[in-house]
Amino acid sequence: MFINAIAAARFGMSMTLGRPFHRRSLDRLIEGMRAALEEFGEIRDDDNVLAGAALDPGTRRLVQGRRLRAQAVRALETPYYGRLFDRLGLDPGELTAESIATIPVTAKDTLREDPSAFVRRGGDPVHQCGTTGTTGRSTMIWLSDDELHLIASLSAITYFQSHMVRPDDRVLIAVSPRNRIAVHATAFAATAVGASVDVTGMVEPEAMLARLSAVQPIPGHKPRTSVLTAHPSYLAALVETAEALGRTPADFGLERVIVGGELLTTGLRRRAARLFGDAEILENYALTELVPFAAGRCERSHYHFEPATCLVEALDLDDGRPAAGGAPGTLVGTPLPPFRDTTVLLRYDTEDVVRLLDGPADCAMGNLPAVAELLGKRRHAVRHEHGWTFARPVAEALEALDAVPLPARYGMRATTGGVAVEAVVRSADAAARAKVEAALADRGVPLAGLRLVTDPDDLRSPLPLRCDLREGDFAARRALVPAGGPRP
Amino acid sequence: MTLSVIVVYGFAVLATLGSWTYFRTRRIARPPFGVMNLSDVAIAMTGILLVPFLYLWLPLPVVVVLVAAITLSALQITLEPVIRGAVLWGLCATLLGLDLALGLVVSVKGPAFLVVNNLIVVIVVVGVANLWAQSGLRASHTALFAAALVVYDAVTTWSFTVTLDLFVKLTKAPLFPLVGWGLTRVSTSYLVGLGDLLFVALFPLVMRKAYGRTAGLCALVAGLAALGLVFALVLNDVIGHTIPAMVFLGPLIVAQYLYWRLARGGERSTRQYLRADPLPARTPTLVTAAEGGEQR
Ligand SMILES: [Zn+2]
Repeated sequence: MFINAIAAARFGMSMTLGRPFHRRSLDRLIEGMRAALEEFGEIRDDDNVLAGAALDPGTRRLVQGRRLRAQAVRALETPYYGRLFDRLGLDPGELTAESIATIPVTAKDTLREDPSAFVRRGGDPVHQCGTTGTTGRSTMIWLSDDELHLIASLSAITYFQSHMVRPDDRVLIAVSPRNRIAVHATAFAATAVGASVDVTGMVEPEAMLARLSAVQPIPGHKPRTSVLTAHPSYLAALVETAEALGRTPADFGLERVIVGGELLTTGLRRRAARLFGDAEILENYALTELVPFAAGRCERSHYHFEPATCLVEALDLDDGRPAAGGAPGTLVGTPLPPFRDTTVLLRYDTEDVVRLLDGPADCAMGNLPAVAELLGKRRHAVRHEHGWTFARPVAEALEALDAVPLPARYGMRATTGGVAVEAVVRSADAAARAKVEAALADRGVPLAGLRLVTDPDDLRSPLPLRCDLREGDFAARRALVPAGGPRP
Repeated sequence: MTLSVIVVYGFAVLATLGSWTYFRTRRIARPPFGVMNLSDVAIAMTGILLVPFLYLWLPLPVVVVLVAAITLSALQITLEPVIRGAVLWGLCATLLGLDLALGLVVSVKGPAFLVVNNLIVVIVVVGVANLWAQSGLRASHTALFAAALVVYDAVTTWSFTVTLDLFVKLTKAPLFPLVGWGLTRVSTSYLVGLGDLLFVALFPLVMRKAYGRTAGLCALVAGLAALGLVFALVLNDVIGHTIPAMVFLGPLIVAQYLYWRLARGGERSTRQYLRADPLPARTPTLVTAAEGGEQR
């Protein structure tokens, strides 16, 4: 307890002063929380070591300005920003949160082309961590071992405090193992809490459903998988397959499904809830490049994020200036010290479009900055004569319909008069067409052409889905390619 | 002398029964960082053992201010679940003020001062015993520490004359961490240290949590009986006047722990204890907080 109090004080000091976290103190905090959970069966809200970071907006801007400046000075030690500041004649020591716009936005492609150009000279890059790359090729960042440990430790602290994962849980990680940070942090955090962990990646839905239904008694844990972490499209594929196989809630022991990395639609939520019974579906938003920045949802469905880890901006899609309240904007993030010191990114363009809140957030997490909604990737959005159409309304419209198999597979492009949409439906008849048209119109999509197909391969330019990054195995391959050649 | 021993024993009984009742009816604000473990007991006990030396080394005004601050917070933390609001602060300030005023202005040997000071020590013992026990202190850790203290107490009391010197010097300033009576004359004076009282009061609580009501009551009766025996022996001049009480209490604590360990096996966690023996309904906050949604 005394040792843990010192560890908590060191943690707070690192947060306040922006100094690197003391690794052993992080371990002690986690050990203390584990001991408390085992002894008392609960972690109280006032055990929240991160709670000290809730500042009023004015102070927050000041602190963030100071941290931004510190990070920009560090950025001078990277080849990319060293050259950039030199070329622009910029002195990072003079930066404030207000003058941040003088730094040009760093594009995803720039990082993808040369991740090493963003590594600090004094850094200790040992872990190369990539994204699964739904926007094209995988984007990589380098992390030090201390950073990866910090990220995993922060996840563990979140699990302890949110009860998202409990000691008797059995956690199944079904995101792509290539998503190294997510897999590592989830496995570390779940085992820190005391849960058991199984990493499968995205295997064939039939195999996964069998695994979720399997009863395997192990000491101290529930008999079946109780927590599933997955991308929404893979969850959707599971729901679709399970419905086809006639599975019911009694076939599963799932209590919580943690999803992220893609848009989660209301329709999918509803259909997943129908399949998994009372399982809670928890959504978070995080991305490898800005790690450990993450956003969670409040009771009013906003996405709130911890401002200490990252300075977040939302920029207008057309002119790149700060987006207005209620308007869409591209999320641009600057990871702040003491969270990141190997790969330094300033004003990194996530290409994720969000809708800003219209006014102050009047919800339980109102003290944390928030955005109203995730709208999808900017490169999947369509600019047409009436404005922008994002993936969100199209996905929402399609996945709400039982006529559309999950996950919704679709493409969209600008055309005269609005957006042309192509989508997969169960049967491309007039009834389905009417339903899809009505659903898209309901969500304000200026539909100027609709092409319905029943075979996903017939889509001309579908949006990529993470669930297509399947893990192969020999049994699945044999099933797909029976003796005598491919099935018709 | 007889009266002094009876009065001091009375305060010891008050501290022990008070701690026992408090443990089942009040929820002390436990610190937020993890669980009370062996290193915490070691650190806290070192503190308790060092406080007397503070009296010897530091200038008196500094000691009084320092100890007053510690005492005030201890009183406040202990009484907070019992009394609330302005009354709480009023009572804490009154107790502290009376102790200081009587001790500094009248005498630290007078009965009025001793009643107040003994009462403060009793409240602090109740508070510390409950803070530790409710913070998840294990019986095994308590027993281990008692064993260590036996050695420390025996060495310091019998081999050196530290304890006696301390007692003499300690009783010059107010707020001393001892329960005493009859201090005006050496022949009638009788004192017992806060550390010893703490173990008598604490062990029943951790046994109550670890092995149940019977184990707790056994520890309570055994502790008070052992203390009574020590006092009786002193009174009848069977043993010397300066007694390391832990030498009698320690082995008793270790023996009880070993007995229950062998009879029942591993000890319960706080969660298991509260699930088996929910607290009386008039302290609903504790049960709901500890049991979460699983309360039946
Ligand atoms: Zn909110």
